[in-house]
Parts: sequence; structure tokens; C-alpha cells
Amino acid sequence: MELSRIRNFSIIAHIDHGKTTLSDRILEATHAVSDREMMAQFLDGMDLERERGITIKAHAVSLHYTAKDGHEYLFNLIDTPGHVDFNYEVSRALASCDGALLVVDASQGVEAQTLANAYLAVDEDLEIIPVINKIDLPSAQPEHVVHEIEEVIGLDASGAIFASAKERIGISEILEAIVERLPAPTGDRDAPLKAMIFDSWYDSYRGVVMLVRVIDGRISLKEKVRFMNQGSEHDVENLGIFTPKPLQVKTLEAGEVGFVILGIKDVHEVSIGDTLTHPGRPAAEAFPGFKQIKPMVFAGLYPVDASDYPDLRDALEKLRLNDSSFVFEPETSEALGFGFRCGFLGFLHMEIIQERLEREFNLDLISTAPNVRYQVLNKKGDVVDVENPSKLPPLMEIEEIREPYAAVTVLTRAEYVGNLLKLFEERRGTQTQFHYASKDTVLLKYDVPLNEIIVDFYDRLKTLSRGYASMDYQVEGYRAGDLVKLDILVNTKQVDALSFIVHRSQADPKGRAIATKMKEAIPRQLFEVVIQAALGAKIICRTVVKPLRKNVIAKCYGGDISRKRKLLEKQKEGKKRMKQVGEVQIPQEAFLSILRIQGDQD
Amino acid sequence: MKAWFDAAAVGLYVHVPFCASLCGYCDFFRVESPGGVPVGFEALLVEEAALFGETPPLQVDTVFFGGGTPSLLGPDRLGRLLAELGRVFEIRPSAEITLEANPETVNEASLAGWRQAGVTRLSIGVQSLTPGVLAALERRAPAATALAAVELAARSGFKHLSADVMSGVPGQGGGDLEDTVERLAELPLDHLSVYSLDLHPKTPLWEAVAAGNLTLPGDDEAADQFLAVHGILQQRGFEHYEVSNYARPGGRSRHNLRYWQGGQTVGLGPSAWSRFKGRLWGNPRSLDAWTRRVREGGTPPGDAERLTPEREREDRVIFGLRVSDGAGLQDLIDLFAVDQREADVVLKPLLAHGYAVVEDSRLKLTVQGFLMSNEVLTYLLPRSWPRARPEA
Repeated sequence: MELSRIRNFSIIAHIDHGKTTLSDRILEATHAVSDREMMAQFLDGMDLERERGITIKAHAVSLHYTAKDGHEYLFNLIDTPGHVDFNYEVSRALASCDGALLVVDASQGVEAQTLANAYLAVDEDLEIIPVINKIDLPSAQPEHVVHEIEEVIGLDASGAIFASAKERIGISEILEAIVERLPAPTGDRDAPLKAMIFDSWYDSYRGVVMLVRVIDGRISLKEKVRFMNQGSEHDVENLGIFTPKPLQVKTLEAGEVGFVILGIKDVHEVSIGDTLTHPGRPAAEAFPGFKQIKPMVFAGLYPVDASDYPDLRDALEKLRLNDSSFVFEPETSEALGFGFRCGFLGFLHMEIIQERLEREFNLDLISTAPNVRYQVLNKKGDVVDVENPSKLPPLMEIEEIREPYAAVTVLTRAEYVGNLLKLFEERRGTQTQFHYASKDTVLLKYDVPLNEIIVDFYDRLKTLSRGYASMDYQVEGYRAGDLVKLDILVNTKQVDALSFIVHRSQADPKGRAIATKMKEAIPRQLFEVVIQAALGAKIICRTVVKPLRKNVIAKCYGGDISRKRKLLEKQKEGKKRMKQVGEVQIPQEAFLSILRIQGDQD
Repeated sequence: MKAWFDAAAVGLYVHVPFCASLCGYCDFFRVESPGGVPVGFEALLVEEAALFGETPPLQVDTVFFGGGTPSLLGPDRLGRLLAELGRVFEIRPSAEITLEANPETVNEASLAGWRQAGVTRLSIGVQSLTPGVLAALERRAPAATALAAVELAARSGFKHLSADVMSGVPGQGGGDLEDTVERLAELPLDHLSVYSLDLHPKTPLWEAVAAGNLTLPGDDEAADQFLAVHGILQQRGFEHYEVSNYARPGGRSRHNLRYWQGGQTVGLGPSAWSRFKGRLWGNPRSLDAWTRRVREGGTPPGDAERLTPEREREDRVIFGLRVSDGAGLQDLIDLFAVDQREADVVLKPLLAHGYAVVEDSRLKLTVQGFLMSNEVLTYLLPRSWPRARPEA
């Protein structure tokens, strides 16, 4: 397709503002899918994504649209991951576009994610068409939202389209606006190949599938190509577009979007943002903006029943196959036995993986408290990464502990500002901006230690604002902090898996809260269970689970022999769901205590 | 360890499932039969016994008539039944022959008749001497009848007399139980069974508790009651020889010790269990199904469990620890070897916390250990149990 007839665009929106429905309408209007196929929201692949209302994997669909000017246009609709942990992936998907539809709910207005993604789009120099969606709702205030877009985001919204994707209102205006107002891609089809990878996943039949935007030149079947950042070379095994069904093509040219298959088996060999070129005639420089993304949040995952270890490993392998940002390696804990230390992009990513492990793979898991990647400057002057609190070097060897900080953006209704300021204060946040974006909307920006927002921050934010605040964050560098390691001892034995790093000012209240929570979660049993929270040799708090006093079958004669055995078997099975620490049994629940304390403190 | 029964002989259990009226807490297999034990029931029992006929006949050194209400049989029928059974088995002259009796079936004539028939031991279902508790248990006989029955039985020459008492009954205060136990301990009994009430699902009492109409004492309160009873009876010369059983010297139930210490038993009647020649099986819990099983013959039935040496060892530990004689250390060492545990390491905390002692190469539970026996056992059994049990 000639360049002037191509439109590459994304839909950017906050969760639930109608991105998926609008995508479906566009597919429908371009006859990409039949009505029956429309039954399911097409772009959301996984059940879990649908349930959470978020799209984890980006996709690109090529559609043909005949505009009112009588010409046929090629639309490449590029979907973006819709949640806060995937900032970089969003930025690469947007970089593959020339324009974007900014969808804002007519009754909800601008939210933090709208803002964050709109800024990413502006950064990529995209032309933006504001779409005020859900105008059919009784609570819709489209004019007010137009005003808000101008005030809060600073975009000219005078050309905003009022729509209701659900009621099919405004769809043809949107399609025409895409043709008229979004720029066609530029690019030199005769220049050396430059194709930017903005998504990849593993397909069990084809291996790794990559989505690319060809910036310059052309890529063809059977050619040899090279990753400019990572260096390896491969043959193009397959090439095509999604209509949305996959359709093989011989060549993709500058301005076009499609998939490339190079026969790569491991999704981790492909980096999002990398550039493909021809080794014989390479591009002068790679497409800008490439970053090697490293996991920021870590947690130990252990099977409750040690015999499930191989199953857990297989399940993690399967998830990693399709998730280039998820990593894991075997880890042994004295308390929990054999398990894995897993790395995630962020807290939501972690929750999704854990949920899939339990739901799709039916595994009973114990998860340690998540933590960030710390940097420890030792006395010798070396900086070492610490991804597991129990691996923190001895205190006397530590010069300084540094932790990653996040720049957090929150948009909230003004009436909840007080609650949120308190929340940020508790999480050691430093305010960098407080701005009335409109009469009743406040924009807050804080620098917060990342560790403070990975557990129960998002939920607290939602609760404290009755759902009216939204957030976005970006990780921005390390700072030294007065950090200490808090240990938990069960019957004087340190449970390595429960150790965590905490700011000194919070060691005492957190230690107390955990010891109390664990006491509630551990059932009375044969032996006394003494729980201690300790800072080095200093015991902060001690709680005791008194032994049970009676658990006996009173009557046991001929016919009761089998009954008694069955009951013992049942009780034994119950105990197998707990972890043995020394001579006592600790249920999964107790290990989660650490995750539960923060909410209670607020 | 003293041998309480002759391993070469078997114990015979006879289940008579009929009751004049049903008690709400009981989950034994029983049938309401106001007209007494139906004619022809004994003939079926004898027919079933014949399935165990051998030459020379099996030696029997304990017989236990349980129920239901076996005393509903009356002395004549019981005598004839024992005589018939004596034609299949060789019931030794020294055999312990126990009959469970409800207080209201006990009178001078029945006592004399039972003695005449060969019964050597009576187990009288007293349950409680507190009217409110008896009502909760739907027991018909008032306390006075129960006390009179025990005294009458002692006077009529029964040397081995036992009474059943319930603890942990809704509405039963600790004082009530202690009072019942103290008064019974003054009677000429040589055996007392004190059962803390196990609620069995679907029984009327269970339903009443589930509906919130009755409240059970909590575990801590029940534990206090258990310890109080232990204290009272020990002071009065009773040995706490099994979790729920106390005996004066010479008063232990030899028949029941067979169950706990892995002896062979043959069960006759619906729902009766047999542990015989390496198999364990239960009869159907239905008169019709049991009748069919007897008529079709064939013992042991096809679904009988095969008792491997490993299983026998587990049972010696699981059930042996119910008895004050405890379980042999070698059995425990073998059990721990299944998941490479050292006996010293496993047992040390049990001994340190006072749940058990080691004496004469046996592990014996203390009274605290009895109270916690399920926890102690799940602690002792291998982590893989019961999955790792080798298949027969």
C-alpha cells in the first residue's frame, strides 16, 4: 500500500473507558470479523485479561477501510498493554504509530493512566484525536471532559469526537477522522531496512512471533536479518499481517505493520524495542528509545507440597515462554524448601502471574513478601544487587543500602486529597507536585520508594478515594535509605523466607503487626509456637500460639478402626498443606501475613 | 509388656442392633424395635458363625455382645445363642464374656439368667447421673435406675462390672460430670468408660448443635473435664489404661484390648468388624444386606482389606498408643525410617512437652498425650502417610 493510504494508530485509554469496545466497533465497521466472532471481545486474548479488564499482550490488526473520498485505506490498529507495569512496552507500541485516539469516559473524565499514556503519545510526536466515549450514559458530561482534557493534559480538544462505542454513536466520524486528521507514515522504502519490534510472544507451532513497524526499507521472506542491539542474525521464515486472522505476505514495506517469524524458540532472545536490519546493507543507526527492561519486583514462590516442585517448574517455564519480562531461577529456603525466585516488571504483573499459576495450573503456592531490587554498596566500594532480603550481606560489610524510587502520578477528585496525602506520607513519599488540574481534580506527583508501592498500595489508593483516584508510575533511579533487615523467628529459628528489608522508622510497627497477624493465622497445635520479630539480635515483639489441648477420638473399637484411620488421614492431609518449620506447622496464610499488614496500619 | 489376650485365640464380637427406642447421640448401627429382638435373628448369627467353622474349632477367649441393646435378648435366648456359638467355636471356660446392658433391662431375674448363660462381665450404660444430661442424650432410664442396676448386679455376683459415662455433653457442667464419676467410683465397679461425646453427622444431637439449639463445651473445657475425671479415678484406685477407659487392677476389658493391640477378632451381625487372618472387613450396615451376605456365604468378602506387615505395624502404633502400654520403640523406629527420621529427634519434643514417656522400650502417652493423641499421631506418622503405604 502506498504510504499516503496507510494509517498506523493506537487507542489509548484508562481501564474501562471503552478501548476494547471501540476496537471491536472499528473491526466490525471494516468487516474484519463476522458478527458471530464479535461475540467475544476480540482483542483480549485471555480470560484473565477479560476478567481484569486489562489487555496484557499488544496486537496489531490490519484493516481495509473505504473512506468517503472513495479511496481505500490500510488501517493498522495497534493495541497497547493497558496497565502501569508495562510503561516501556506501551511506549514502543506508540512509537510504531503515527497517531492515536485518546478515549476518555464521558462520566469518569481524565484519569492518571489517560494522562500518562497521553504524555507517552506526545513524547512520540503522535497526532491525537480525543474521543469522548459513553456519551449515552445519564451521567455523561462530555463538554466538561473536553475542558478537562485541555486543562489537565494540555491538549487542544476542540476537535473531540463525541461517541458511544456501545451504542455505535460517532463511529463513522472516528473512522473519517483517522483518514483526515492522522498523518500517513513517512519512510524511505529504498533506504536500508529498519524495522522496530514492538511486541513478541511465543506460539507453540511457529516459535517466537514478533510484531514490527517497518520504518525504512522493506523486509522480505527468506532474507537474513540482524537484531541491531542484540546482534544475532536469523532468516525470515515467515512474514505477514493479522486481518485479524494471520495472512502471509512476501514483503512488508516502510510504513507497514506486520508480524515476522525468525524461527527463534525463546521469547527472551527478543528484546522489545530492538531494530531489525539487513546485515549486508545495515541501517546507519537503530530506531531510538531502546531499553533493556529488567524485572523490578521479586518474590519467592514455593509449592506448599514439596512434591509439586516439578509441576511448579513446568508451569513457570510455560509462563516464561510467553512473557519476556518474567524471569525466575531456582532458590532454596531453609524454611520453605525448594522453590523459585521470580522477577516481575511490577506488582500487577506479579499478581497476574501468581493468579495464573494457581488458577490455570492448579498449584498451591506460598509466596514470600515481594521486594524490589536493592543495591548494596559494601565497604570495599563494590555495588551488588540484592533481590532476596535473606541474601543481604552481613551488616558490618554494608556501607549503604540503596533502593529504587518511583515517580508516581495520581489524579484524584479533590475531596480525597487529604486521604491520599496521608497514604503517601505513610509510604515515605516526597511530594513533587500538587496542582489543581481543574476545579475538582487534583494532580499529585510524588517520589516514593518503589518497595512502598508494590504491596497493597494500589488497592489502598482505590479504597481511600472510593475508586476516584487513578495512578501511574515510572521507576526512576536509586537513592540511599536508612534500611534494615527485619527477621521473623519461629520457635527461635529464623524463617529466612519471612525476612524483609524495611525503613528503620517502620521496623517496629511492622514487626509488631506481623507477629500479631501470624499468631492469628497459625492454628493451635501439638507444640507451642513462639513468633518473634527481630532486628539483628534485638527482639522487637513476641507472640505465642498456645498448644492445642484436645484432639482425640473418644471411642475406638472394632468398627472404629477404619474410621479412626480415615480421620487421621484427613488430619494428616490438612497438615500437608502447611509448611513444617522445626516441629511446628505454619499455614500458607501465615506467610501472607506480611502482605496483609500494610493495609491494617493505615 | 503383659499379654492381655492369647494371640492363638480370637475374640468374638456379636452385634445385636435392636433398641427399644433410639438415642440421639448414637451412631452405631441400630434399629428401633419396640417388640424386642426379632425371632430368627440368632439363627442368622449362628449361620454366619458357621462360615468360620474349622477343625479343630477356633479358640475363643473373649466374647462381647454389643449393640444396639443386646440385653434385649433376655437370658434364655442369650444362653441358647452362646451354646450354639459354642458348637462352632471352642469358647474357653476362662473366656471373658461381656454383655452390654441398659439399666432398665437389669433386674434380679435377668442377672441370674445371664450369669447362668455364662456372661462374666456386664457393661452398663449409665451415661450420666444428672437429669438434664440424660435428657439431652434422650436416655430413658433415670439416674436412680442406673445406680440400682449397678448395685443389684454387684450383689448378684458379677465381679466384672463396667459403667459407661459421657463427658462433653451439651448442658453438662464440669461439676455434673465429676459428681457422676465420683458417685460411680464408690460403687463395686471394676471398670469405667468415660467417653467425651463425639458428634456424629446426621444424628439428631448433631443436628441440634448445628442448628444452634444446643452448645457443646469448648475443647479447653472438655480438656479440663478429661483431666478432672483422670484425677478423681486415679485417686480411687483406677488405672487410666486407655484413652477413655479406666480399670481397677484385674478389671481391664480383654476383648477391647484385642482391638487396640492388633489381636484377631471375628465379628458377627450387621456392621460388625473382623480382623482375621490378615484381613480387615466390616459387615454391611443394613439388616437386609447383612442377611444376603450371610446367605451367600464367603468369608472374608472380596472387598476385605489386606493387612500388610507395614499396615499391621502402623496399626500397632496408631491403636497401641491409645493404651497405657503404648507402642514398641522398634515399630516407631521402622515407621520413622520411611522418611529417614531419627527416633531421638522425633521423640525428644514429645517427651520434653510431657506428651509421652519411654519405658521398657515402649513409647507411652501421658494423660496429656491421650488428650492430644490425634495430633501426636499425625506428628509421628511419616509426612507421606498414607500415600506412601506400599500396596498389597
